[in-house]
Order: sequence, then C-alpha cells, then structure tokens
Amino acid sequence: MKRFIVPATLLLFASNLMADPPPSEEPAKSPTITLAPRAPAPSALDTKALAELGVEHSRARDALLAVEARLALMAEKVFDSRLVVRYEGFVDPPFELARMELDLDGALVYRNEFSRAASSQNVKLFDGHLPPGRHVLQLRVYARGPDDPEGSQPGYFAGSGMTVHLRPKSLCRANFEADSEGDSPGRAVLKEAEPEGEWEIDIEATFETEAL
Amino acid sequence: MITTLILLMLLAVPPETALSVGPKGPLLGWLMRTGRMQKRIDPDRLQRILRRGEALYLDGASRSAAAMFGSLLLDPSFWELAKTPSHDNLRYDLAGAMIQQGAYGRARKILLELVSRTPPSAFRAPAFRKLTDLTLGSGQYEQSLIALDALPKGLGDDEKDEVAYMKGLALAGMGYPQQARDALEHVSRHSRFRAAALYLMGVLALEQDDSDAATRYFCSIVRQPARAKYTFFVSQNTLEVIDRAWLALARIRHDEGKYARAIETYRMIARGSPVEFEARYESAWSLFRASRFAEARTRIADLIDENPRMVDFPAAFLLLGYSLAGDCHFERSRQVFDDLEGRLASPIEDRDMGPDIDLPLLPAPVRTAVPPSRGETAAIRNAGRVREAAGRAGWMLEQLRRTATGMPQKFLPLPGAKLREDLLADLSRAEALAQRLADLRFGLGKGNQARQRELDQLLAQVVAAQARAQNAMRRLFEGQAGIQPVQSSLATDQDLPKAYVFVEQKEVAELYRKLIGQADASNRMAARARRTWALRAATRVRTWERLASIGKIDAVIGQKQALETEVQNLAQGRYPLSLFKELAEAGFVDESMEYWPYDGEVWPDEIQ
Repeated sequence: MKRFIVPATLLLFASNLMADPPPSEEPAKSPTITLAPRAPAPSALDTKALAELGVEHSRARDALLAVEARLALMAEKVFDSRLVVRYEGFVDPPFELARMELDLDGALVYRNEFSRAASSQNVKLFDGHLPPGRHVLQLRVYARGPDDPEGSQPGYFAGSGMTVHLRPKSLCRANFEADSEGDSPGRAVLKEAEPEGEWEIDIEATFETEAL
Repeated sequence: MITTLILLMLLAVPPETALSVGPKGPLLGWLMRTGRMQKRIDPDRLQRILRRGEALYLDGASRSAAAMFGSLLLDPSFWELAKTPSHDNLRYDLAGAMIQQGAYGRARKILLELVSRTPPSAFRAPAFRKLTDLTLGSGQYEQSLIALDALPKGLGDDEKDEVAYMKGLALAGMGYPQQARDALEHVSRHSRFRAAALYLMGVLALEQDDSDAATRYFCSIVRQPARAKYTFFVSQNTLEVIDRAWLALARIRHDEGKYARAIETYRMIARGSPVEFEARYESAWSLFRASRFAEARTRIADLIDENPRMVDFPAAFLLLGYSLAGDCHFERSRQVFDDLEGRLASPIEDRDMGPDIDLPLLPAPVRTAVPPSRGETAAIRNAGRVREAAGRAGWMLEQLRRTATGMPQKFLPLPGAKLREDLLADLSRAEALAQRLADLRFGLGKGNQARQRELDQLLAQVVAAQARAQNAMRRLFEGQAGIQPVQSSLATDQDLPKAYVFVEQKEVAELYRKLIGQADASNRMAARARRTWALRAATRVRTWERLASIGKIDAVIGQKQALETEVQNLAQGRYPLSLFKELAEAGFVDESMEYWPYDGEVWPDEIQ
C-alpha cells in the first residue's frame, strides 16, 4: 500500500503551485545577477539626464571649492583668525555612532557616516581661517541600536550647539565632549511583555581662545 | 620697477595656478602688492600644514581639508616649492579631498598633471590609482579615458591594468558585453582588480546565456590552489568578491535545478560576510525546492526573527507559509499568510497632483521590502547634495558681505535671512505632517475608504502648501543672489583686498544662481525617482498581496483535502492508533483483539 497519501496529495498540490508561480515570484525563486538596465523602461528614470545633472553639479562643486580656497587664503592673510572644532565622545555599547554633522553659521561643514565605529571617538571636525566675529556651531550626533540594520536610518539622535567669538590674530579651539549610556530596546527586550529602553547623552560644548 | 617684478613673478607661476580672469587675479595681486607673501621659502611650514590637513582629511573633514589644501596651493609663498615631493603630496591630498567633496573635474586635472609630470613625480602610481577610484566612483568613464588616451607618454603595466578595467566597466555599462569581456581579459593577475574583473566577466557571460563560461570565471575566483595561495593579487575587496562568486555559483546551480549542490555552495559563504543574509535566504529557497520543508522553514524563520526588516521580507513570508503547507501545517500556514497581508499596505498608486511634487508615497514596511534602485537612490541623493551646495554658496555670500564692510565682527544679516529661516521651518513641518498623514492613511487598511479619501484630501492640501513654500523659497534665494555686492568699506586697500572681495561677491552670486537652477532640476528628478519607485513598489505589493491570498486559499484547500483523505481512510477501515485508543477506552477493543493502526504511511505487515 502506498504511504503518504495525504502528504503526497499536498506535495503534488504544492508542486503545482510552484510550477506556475506568478512572474514576480521568479526573482526570489531564481536570483539573477545583472548589471544596470541597458534601455530604460517607459516609466523608468532618465539615467542620461541624471548623469548630465551629476556632471553639471560636479562642475559647480569645483567652483565652490575654488571659492572656499580663495576665501580661506584671504581670511588667513587679512585676519589670521583660526577656528578648530573637535569632538571627543564615548558612545556606550550596544549603541554605535552612525553619523555626525556640524553646521557652521547654518551651512554644513562636516558630515561623516560611520560603519562599525569604535565606541570612543576623537575627531577633528573643522580647522580653518574665518573672518573674526560671531560664528554659530551646531553639532548633530546619530547613533544606531544593537538590532538596527546597518543600512537603515539611525534611530537615536542628539544635538548641541554654541556661539564662538573669533578674535583677529588668534586661535579659537571649540570642543564638544559627549558621554552616553543606556539600554536599547533591542530584539531580546522587545520580546518581553513590557519592553522599555533609554539613551542618555550629555554633550558639553566649550571654547577657548589663544593669541597667535 | 615693482610692477615689472610682479609681472615677472606672475609669469613664473605654474600653469595651473596662473592668473586668470576672475577673482584669483585681484587676490594674488593684492597679496604681492601688500607684501603678505612670506619672504623666506619654508618647506617645513608646508610640511606642518600638510600634516595638519591630512589629519583633518582622515577624520572625514574633507571640506575644510580641501579649503586648507586649496589655499596652500594658491599661496604664492609656496610656489618656489612647486616641483618638490611635498608640493606633489599637497596636490595628491587636495585631489583626494576634492573627490570626497564631489569636485571631480578639478581633481582629475590635478591627478593627470601628477601622472604626466616629467621627470616623473614620486606620487605618479598612487595618483593613477586615485584617478581610477575617482572614475569608478563617479561613473565618469568617458572624461577619464579620453584624458588618459591623450597622455604623451606610455603607461606602465599596472596602469594598463587599471585602464583595461575601466574600459571593461564602461563598455559593460554601454551595453557591449563581448567587447567588455575582451577588455577585462587584459586585466592581469597582478592587478588589484583581477578578482573583480573575473567576477564581472562571469556576470557578462551569464547575461549572454553562457553559464559554462560564467561558471569557469566564478570557479577561478574561488578555487584554492594546492599551495593555498590565490593566483591573483589579493586586494582589500577580494574576500567580498570571493563571497559574491560563491553566491553566483550557487544561483547558477539553483537555476539548473541542482538544489543539493546549490545548498552546499551557499554554505561556503562565511558568517559575517556582506552577502550572508542573501545566501541564507536563497538557500532556504533551494531547500524548499528540494522538498526539505522543515529545514527551509527553520532557516527562513530564523532569518525573519533575526532581521524582520529585510529586503523582500514578503517573499520570505510566502516561503515560510508554503513550507508549512508542504508539511501539512495548514492552520499555521494560513496564519503566516494572514500576517503578511496585515503587514503590507498598498502605496498610493496615482493621484491628481503634479508629476513632480515630492510626495511621501511609501509606508515604512514597503520602503523596506522594495528599496529604491541605484538610479533612484542617486537622484534622491543628488537633490540633497545640490541643496547642501546651495547652502554653502549662501554661506560664502554672507561671509563676503561681512568682510566687505571692513567690520566683520559686526553681525550683518543677509536680507531675507529671517524669512528663509521661517520657510525652512515650515517646509520641515509640512514634510513631517505629510509623512504622518500618509502613514495614517496606510494604517487604516482597506475597509475604511471614506476615511482614506478624507486623509487623501488633507494630504493633497499639505503637499500643495509645501509646493507653495518651496516656490517662495526659490524666489527668496533668487532675490538674495541678486543683491548688489558691497562696494563701500571702512577698510583701506592695505587692510582688505576690496577689488577681490567685490569680484568674488559677483562670482559667488552667479554660482548661487546656478545652484538654485540646479536645485530645481534635481528636485524634479528626485520627485520623479520617488514616483518611479512608488509605482514599482505598488506593483510588487499587489503581487505579494495576491500571492498571500492565493496562499490562504491553498491552505484551506489543503486542509479540506487532508480531511477528505482522512474520511476515505476511515471508510476503508484504516484507523489511526489514536482512534484505536479511544475505542479501547470506550470498551470497543479488548486486549485479545488484534488490530493494525494506520498512521498515513504503510500497514505494519508491509514493513519488510
């Protein structure tokens, strides 16, 4: 007598399903290795126009950096007032530093994405000559929890800022010192009946000026 | 006499720093006229600043590093050192920082100058490699390859390898697979790109339906020679390329129906590899195809547990559902399909709005399941980069205005600064509100259509307000770019290069205007990319929803068939052991009675 009457029926049934899957199931069933598409589909993005935009923007970046170099040279020779901004921080595991950004007078001057960053960081964010006077610094720190996927948006954010006053012929050192601790609501915690988590970060901002 | 001296000095400057029409001339002229150049040539000072800049660059501060290196290159104090290794080092570092900042044109020019220098620069080899990295990173193959073709002197072996790899990639991208393979064959085994070239040749062979050749290429990457040494140069990315080659081989075997071999091949990918998740996910499909449902189920359940937000997670749920059904766990299978349906929410498909408005069309689970393509990501990122560059140009205008007054310590806000701040805050709030409304709309489910329509109308209003704020912002930017440069200043010409500041203000205003135009174009492109992405995601979500509902039907049919088979068995006297036990407890089967329980396989007397 034949065995597996019920399972066999079902296997046959399942194989029928597998034999005729909808087209969209195919990629998962048989993963493909391809380069970029050759000809764009009617609704696809215009990659040629995108590439042209990229080249045009690259030229604008050339010009921007040339202006910045000239401005830096002028500020050095005329005012000789230098600003150095540094970040010293400790992000307590299992949290991980994911991104750091610094704005100077509202414009982004530093942005760095970290991958598997060490918990302790000592980073120079800015070093350059500027016109003397008031300048506003804004720091943003992003961290990732233990079970956050690598490519996803970091889920933890903290910010700090200060105003520094540059004097002619002087060096101003601005420091951001961060210390953090906490327990992330990771996968293990989320399985509990009443999950909870916390991330505490203290950022202390100071600056000091010395004559050159 | 002094003028003649200045002219002579200007003529002696290197070609790339020679004076040109624009702000550079007035600045350098003023530096020389006012004696602000260092009298003594000081190589140590250059070295010190260089080290400082390199530390900055290595910490990721490429913008301020590029400004520092750029100002050093401009500084006439160091022109005497133009052909020394320190100066070449400076150019090399400057090119690196500019590449990080996306200023590819000027970086390429600097690197080509280092490569073509006679006598050869000590930085020729690293400069060539950096040029290759620039080309691969920016995708600007045409510009680099044409410039390299025009080099007066021949290339070394390593340089030929780099050019062959770039040509191969360019040809592959243009749709000439055979020519690309021919070019890649020239990448020698001493090159850092040998493993990558082999992999690419394998991919191209697959695209030409030549799976035998593809297998040969991939095998030549993963093959371990008898003396445990690879037969090509092991570079930084070789290990990843090896893992990708294993993955490709496993896929070929899966496609050929050799599931057992495919499963073994997937196992070759090490834990912690960048393709580990892909390998585990695909090996679950191979196990399913090999009818090893229990193993497939365990593997896919582990994956979902470890990474519930993985790409293609709906397909993983479908696999889990069917592997449960394959082992007759119909009730659990139906629950999995139900769960999947609950997680998916159809994105908005088409709306009565302009095609280029930036809409939050996709709910979070769908964004995870269907990530944007490379082109879409590039378009969205490009818009952000242009906005950032426009912000920098605005910042420079502000710095120049402060400087131009001769009293930089005195805060002088740019006209419209407050309005700009308010508009930025409004735009940020509108974006957050639109996304929140979209999430609420997706969370309602399909049953509440009247409420969905209300939310759609509200969302349309928010998006229209967002578009109006964006237009106001653009007009404000254009107005700011058109502000007349400050000419009058309290400072004397000895204290401030007024001519330079005036010309530079005009130059930056022009650049600002150009960037505003670019921001418009790139915003439109980003909105189009989001729409393309949303339409693609909607198609896939509909397919997954359809498959999930088919899965539920399958599970119910399976359950019914199982019941029918059980009834047939009972009618034919094939009683399972559990029934005999119940009959015994009820007193219908005594101890002297002989019975053969049927457990869905064979009768006991048939087991021989």
